[in-house]
Amino acid sequence: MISTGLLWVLWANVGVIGLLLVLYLYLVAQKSFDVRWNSNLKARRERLQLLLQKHLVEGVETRSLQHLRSADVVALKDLLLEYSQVLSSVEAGERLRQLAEQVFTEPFRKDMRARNYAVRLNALYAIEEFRMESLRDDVVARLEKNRKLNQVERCQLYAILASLQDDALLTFLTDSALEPLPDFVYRELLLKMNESLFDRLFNQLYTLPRALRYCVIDIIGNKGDYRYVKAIEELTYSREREERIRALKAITKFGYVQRGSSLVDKSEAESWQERLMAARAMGAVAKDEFVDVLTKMLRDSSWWVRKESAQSLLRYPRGQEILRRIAESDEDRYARDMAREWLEAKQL
Amino acid sequence: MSLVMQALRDVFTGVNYFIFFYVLFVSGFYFLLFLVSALQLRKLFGLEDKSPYSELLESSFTPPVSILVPAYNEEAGIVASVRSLLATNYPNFEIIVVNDGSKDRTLETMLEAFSMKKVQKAVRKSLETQRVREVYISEVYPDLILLDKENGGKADALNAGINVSQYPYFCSLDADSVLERDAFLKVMKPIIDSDGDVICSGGSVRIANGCRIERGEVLEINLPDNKYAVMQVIEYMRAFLMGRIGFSRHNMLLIVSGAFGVFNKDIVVRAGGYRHDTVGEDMELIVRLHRFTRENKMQKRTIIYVPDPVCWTEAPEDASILRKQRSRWQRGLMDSLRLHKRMFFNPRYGLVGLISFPYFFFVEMMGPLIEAFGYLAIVIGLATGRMFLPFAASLLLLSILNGSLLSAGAVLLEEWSLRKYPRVSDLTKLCLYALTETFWYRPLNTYWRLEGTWQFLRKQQGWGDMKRKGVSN
Repeated sequence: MISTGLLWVLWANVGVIGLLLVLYLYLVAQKSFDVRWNSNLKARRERLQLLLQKHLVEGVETRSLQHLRSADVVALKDLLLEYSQVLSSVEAGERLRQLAEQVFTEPFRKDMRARNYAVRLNALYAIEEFRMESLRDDVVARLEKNRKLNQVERCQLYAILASLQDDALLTFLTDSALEPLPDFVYRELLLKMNESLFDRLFNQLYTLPRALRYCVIDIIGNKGDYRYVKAIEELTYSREREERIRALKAITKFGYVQRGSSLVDKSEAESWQERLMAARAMGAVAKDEFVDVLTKMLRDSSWWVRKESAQSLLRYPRGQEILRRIAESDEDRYARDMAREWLEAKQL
Repeated sequence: MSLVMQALRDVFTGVNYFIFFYVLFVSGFYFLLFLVSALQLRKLFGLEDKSPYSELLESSFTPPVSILVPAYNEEAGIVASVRSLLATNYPNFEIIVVNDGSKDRTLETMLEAFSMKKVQKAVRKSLETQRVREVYISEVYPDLILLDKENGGKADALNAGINVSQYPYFCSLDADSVLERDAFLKVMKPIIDSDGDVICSGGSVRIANGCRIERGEVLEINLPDNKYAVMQVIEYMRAFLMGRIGFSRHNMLLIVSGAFGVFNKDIVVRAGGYRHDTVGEDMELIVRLHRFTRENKMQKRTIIYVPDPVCWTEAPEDASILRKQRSRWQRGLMDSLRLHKRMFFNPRYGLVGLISFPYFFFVEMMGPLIEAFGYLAIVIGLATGRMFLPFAASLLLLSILNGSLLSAGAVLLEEWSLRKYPRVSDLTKLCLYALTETFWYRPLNTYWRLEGTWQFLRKQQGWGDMKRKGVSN
């Protein structure tokens, strides 16, 4: 019996060795092919670089950018991706976009439907980078027809629509309530939108998935978009706690409120997270009417709120003086400790 | 007399059969993992490196990370390590160096190099640690913090770092490893993409020996000349490319490299932080996190592994150091399995309990013991001639299959999917070295790990005593 076992193992070994050998030879062949292909690309790239610079920066038309070999197309894509990061002038950017549409529309249309995942995604990244409107319909069609797209690919398709400022995106986002996307993706999409598309999205805030709504508030704060100050202040009275917290966070970023009472009210909120955000916002806004509230909040039952209040007080002109008084004579031991710690931190 | 001989013969035949089927089974299992990883890796082949990460870097919403660097007698390398960390490509991070009661001038060197000033800091003690003597902050880099504490071991130092850290994620890092600049972007991406459902993300570690590294950047990838180092390159490829990708796909990962991993601080603190009474604190933590998430109904929380190499570490080129390392690994492994033995074959812990745990027990932990018997059987078989020769031959062939050929396969898989080593000659050299594995490196390793097993079992006795005392009090 063991002899048959031995025979089997022997064959398995021979088989595996054979397989490895074939694989090895294949990989060696491919590696040497790669090395040659890369040096070819490098040569092409050097040839194209000058032409491209002339074309993009000075607007010189050249015919050599029209008849391209396959190595040229790859080299050109890499070059354009680099240029698109550094070009600042509007005309040059527009020329780059046109050139990209002219050269890559067909290849990318094919790549978008390739079976290889990496090929598809690389094409999608480039389409976004070059803002290729010529493929807009293909993008929308792909999103509509393929319900089972992998999330990374789906998000990248959304990103293309966002960079094209296309209204179709709003519908897709509203529909994403069933399967919400990660916050990070929502934020990136929002950051890519221009003012008018963002306004249209904000107008339908309550049709959006909850996660996206929170992100919209975050983004407004982060961009410091003062057109929304009033709307944000109203949101601090929202019925949802998370929405109130996000609104307070946005106010912190603004460093400005129209009605201070909307912050003072929050100093007695039920959840410590809300009180903490209110304390932070009061530090950022730094209106005199908040000093007494913050002093009171130094005796809050939560360590985090006390810490935040002390930190906020330091942002007031009289802040150090107030903290010193508390550190010396307040009846609340926790308030004294916190005040002392922040005074020391300030001195450094 | 002949009855005794007959009995001995029967026993030996039985042992041979057992080893034969054991190795056969393990080879089959590896082969399966190999296939899973190959397909997964190939899918990502050629994906452009830069694009997916550029947005993370620009976004102000990328969650900040605290980098913890435990340092015990590291005066030689600590400043360079910290300098390279300061150049990390990530929007928001702090570096916390924990001087774990070093006996050399680690503390003084740090204080001078970065002009650090003493501060009063109210530290929230979420985890118990040895006393922290002082906290310093650099006057030049406000995000660089130095803790000076009494010696308590690596786990204790990490816990102290966690206490001081202010950000929601932390990363533990050995003082002697080099991070690629985009390392954090790469390992944080799955965490961000999952909205925090990924609670731990480990990066793949590569051997730095032979590579040209300047100021924390790997400029040129080369193979080392030292034979132990080359074998470790292959070993790392094998472990990372094959084992971990397969396990990671189904959230069954029990090891995230100790050299580089990012953790969700809140969950780690709730699970109790690093344990200081074990030599394998990094593996133990991962096992405990699995246990914690399962026991607290957080099934969606997963632990993953990023195959892209992001961290480079200096591998020992000296047999005696390698020997100590391997024996320590074995002890750490055994200890982690011992501490969490209730997860063994326990369906409550899902695939971790049903597959990873038994795998680590039977293959990783028992492997050296059974392999040692295997080598013994081969020698005896060859010496006694005809009767056991077929056994000896088939065992030898199996161990070649399981050792050399599988390693060569891993080398080729890496070439097929990641293509990190630039020259054709590198590929050839790696393949040839891999083929020699069965004949010297693997037996050596088996021996070292057996030593570890022996040390563990002896020490276990000692701990048993201490425990009894605890109960009677």
